[in-house]
Amino acid sequence: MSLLEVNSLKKIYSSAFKSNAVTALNNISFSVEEGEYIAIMGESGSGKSTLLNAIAALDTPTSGNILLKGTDFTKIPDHKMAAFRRSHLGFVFQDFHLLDTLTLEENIYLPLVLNNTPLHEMKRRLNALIPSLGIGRILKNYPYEVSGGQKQRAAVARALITYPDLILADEPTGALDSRSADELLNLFNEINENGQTIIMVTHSISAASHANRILFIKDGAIFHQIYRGTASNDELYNTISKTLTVLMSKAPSPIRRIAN
Amino acid sequence: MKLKLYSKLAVSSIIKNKPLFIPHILSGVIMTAVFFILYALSGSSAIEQLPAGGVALVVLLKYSAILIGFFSIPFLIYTNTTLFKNRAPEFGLYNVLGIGRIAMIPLLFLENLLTYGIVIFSGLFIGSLLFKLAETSLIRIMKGNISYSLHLDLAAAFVTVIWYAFTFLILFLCDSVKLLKNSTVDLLQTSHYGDTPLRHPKLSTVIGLFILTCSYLASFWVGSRGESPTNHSLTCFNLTCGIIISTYLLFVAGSIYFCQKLQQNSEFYFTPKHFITISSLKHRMHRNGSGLASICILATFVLLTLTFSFAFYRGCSTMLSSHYPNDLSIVMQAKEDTSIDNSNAETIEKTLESHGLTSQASSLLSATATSAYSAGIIDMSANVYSQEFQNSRPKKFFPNNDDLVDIRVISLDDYNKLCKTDITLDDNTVLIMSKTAGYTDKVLSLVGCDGHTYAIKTTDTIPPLTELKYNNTYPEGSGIKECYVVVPDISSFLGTDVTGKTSYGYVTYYKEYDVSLSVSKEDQLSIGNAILSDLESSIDHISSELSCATRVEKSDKLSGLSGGLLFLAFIVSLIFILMASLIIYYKQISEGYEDSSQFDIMRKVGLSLNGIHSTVNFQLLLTFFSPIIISGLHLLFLTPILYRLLAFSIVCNKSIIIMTTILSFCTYSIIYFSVYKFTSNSYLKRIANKSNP
Repeated sequence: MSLLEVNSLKKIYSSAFKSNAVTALNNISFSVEEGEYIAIMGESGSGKSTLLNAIAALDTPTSGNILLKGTDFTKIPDHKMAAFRRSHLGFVFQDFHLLDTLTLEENIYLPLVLNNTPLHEMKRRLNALIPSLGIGRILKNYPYEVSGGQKQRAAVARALITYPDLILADEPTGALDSRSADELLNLFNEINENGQTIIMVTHSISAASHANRILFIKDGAIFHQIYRGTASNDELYNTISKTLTVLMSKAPSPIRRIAN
Repeated sequence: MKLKLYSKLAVSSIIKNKPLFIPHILSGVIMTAVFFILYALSGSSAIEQLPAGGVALVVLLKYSAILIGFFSIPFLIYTNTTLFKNRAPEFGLYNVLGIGRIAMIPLLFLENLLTYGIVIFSGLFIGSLLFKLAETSLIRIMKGNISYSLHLDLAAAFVTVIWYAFTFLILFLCDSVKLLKNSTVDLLQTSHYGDTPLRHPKLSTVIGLFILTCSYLASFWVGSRGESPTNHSLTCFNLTCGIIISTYLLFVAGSIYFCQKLQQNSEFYFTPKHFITISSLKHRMHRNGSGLASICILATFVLLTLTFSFAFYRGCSTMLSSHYPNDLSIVMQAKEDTSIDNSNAETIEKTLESHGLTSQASSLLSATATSAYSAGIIDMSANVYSQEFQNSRPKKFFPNNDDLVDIRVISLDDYNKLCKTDITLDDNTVLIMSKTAGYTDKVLSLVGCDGHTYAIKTTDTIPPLTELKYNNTYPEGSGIKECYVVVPDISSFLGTDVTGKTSYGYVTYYKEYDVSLSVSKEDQLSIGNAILSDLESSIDHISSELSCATRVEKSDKLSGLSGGLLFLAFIVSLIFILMASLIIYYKQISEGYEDSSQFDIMRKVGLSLNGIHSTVNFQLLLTFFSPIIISGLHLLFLTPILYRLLAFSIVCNKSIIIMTTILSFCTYSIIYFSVYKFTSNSYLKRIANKSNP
């Protein structure tokens, strides 16, 4: 059984007058195995954020379903959704979304606090994460007192601390300088090597080249897929570039090709 | 050219930032309107002519207006700080786009000027409308019992304009300092920053407690003196300011302290509903504390005015019977240096006879003297007005007038006639009784005016003088009790040389005639008027002062005038309730606006709607109870002053004031709770709505 299964997902935004309905997701289907590191790429407006919102259970699709470890999202009632999200999913956002009212340490603890986890367990989990994230010194600071890279690392810690089945990252390097971005991507690689499944939406080719599998979305459908195989980062970078060039041109219908 | 650009910018920024500006402007309008109404009322000629309390009320209103004026400054600073904090990114952006920070000062000035214009215009407009409404209703209630002249409230308008110009100038200066001090980056980020932590919360709390204690002590001091608090208006004003300042200190420093202590208790802190609430409270601790303190102070104002209104209403209903106990009462007071003029007494009796009222009239001759009382001995020989006596009085921190007693001497014959008894008195024995229950039980002996000691006669039953009811010489508020002394013969008791004793008003003679009328109200009125006109023309006014009044005549006037006062008191209570409710609403709305993005993030991280509800409920619980409890405490400690004030103007005893205090607290708690329930719903809606994807 795959960790995540997306089946015939459709999302249509219709305005009040029903004259201009926007199809954000057009029959998307794919599956994600445990331990995969997926990057989703596409132009703005192609539907990648909508797809991520649907997988994050922050939005309900018009039709189709999403199964996480066999559980159908769309069947979970609203009031249980938050708890489900807390226990199974971890989020990293482009603009960090850390609370100004809490220190970094408290921000990281937040999902565990909401789960009523005992304090000693929270501390144990945080201590395990600190070395790899390198945030030991800034835990008592507030978000507005630290740099973007440090904030994003704290956000990653917050995502990891619940031991989620799946990490969802929406443009995680978007607000970072190249060095912090590199550090973050290396971090993602590290946690993926430890078995964490990651789905990342990104614009950046260099970010995507760190992944194992890249999905290209155009007009709400999967246009192309690339598997890394044995390619190095640079080779993958080139392949992605070429695919994007094709994607940006007026290519007609999506063709599924298995890459070499 | 620049002016035009800035004016356009100022106008457009106010319009576009409506959600931020409206609460601030609304608060300003309410403050201005209330200040204007109170100030204008204090200058209204209609108010001054209200009974007994009229003059005191003018002073009260003026001081309330001044208090509101002073209170406006910290409150408007609070609303303005919130406004500026949310607009700072905009100013940061202007800076980035090329307007230097010093060049932005005129822009800030224009914005403040515009806000001031809106506030003052709307405030005066609404204030005048309400003021006119209040005044005309008041006149109508008083049924033309006063002479009313069209009152130009330009003076009040002028003062309002100047004072709030000054206030807005302060706001502008605060903003300018913040604008110039912070770097551009800080301005852009400022909406994220928490409030700057108070450097010495412990010290501030201690100072606050100290000021509060002093104010409470001062309140007891004023309230225990046997004189009207209006003689100590400066002290009252100072202690009120002290209470306001200490409330602010305690709430701001106290909430910081409280949050810190709670955070240190990790077991308590790291639970879902406490975690979010306590951290958000700490994040805006200054503004939170100021908001709560403002609510507390306004609640105190409400409680004070409500208590005053209820007590006054209650006191009024008994005022008539205690001030005018007889249907028709004629009182002749001998002027200084004389005894009662017997020819005048005969004139009165002849007039009564001519109206056929002799059988319904009872008369009494009495002499009053304020005497000293200590350790069970009443000393009438002491001259209580002399310097040496005043110096010898015990000096207490809470002075009372227990060492003084107002003696009313009447003759044994009169007493026996009135009470239908047959008591005899031996030589050197007198009879004493008092309206205050149990007062005379402790009296052991009496020293007469000539220094002679008299024993007190005790019999099984001494019928009280219920036939005759008099006004006390001293109002209840003074704490000086009244005591009747029955002697065989008044003049021999007081000594034949009355001239000496009355030369400094030591002893005053009264001859009182109390007539009961059994005819209709209109007839009573006409009889009273007829008698009065007869007596006015025939009495010798050089030797005596005459007063003659029917209860019927007084009752109409009194109910009209007291109705007016009551109406006024309720209007002022209503105004304060409205203000307090608006501040609560404002606090909820502005905090909801700030918190919505936080709750948005939390929802993404996994906070359920139920979680939001329980968090918010805990937050509301913390912020709901503290103001009302502290304001209840303030009310409790300010009650002595209120009691003393009322006891000097109208009838009021301690049980009335206790009951009305409890009643006003319960009434306001209900209103307060409803307002909180209502506004918390709009707070929840704002958060939940924004959080929904």
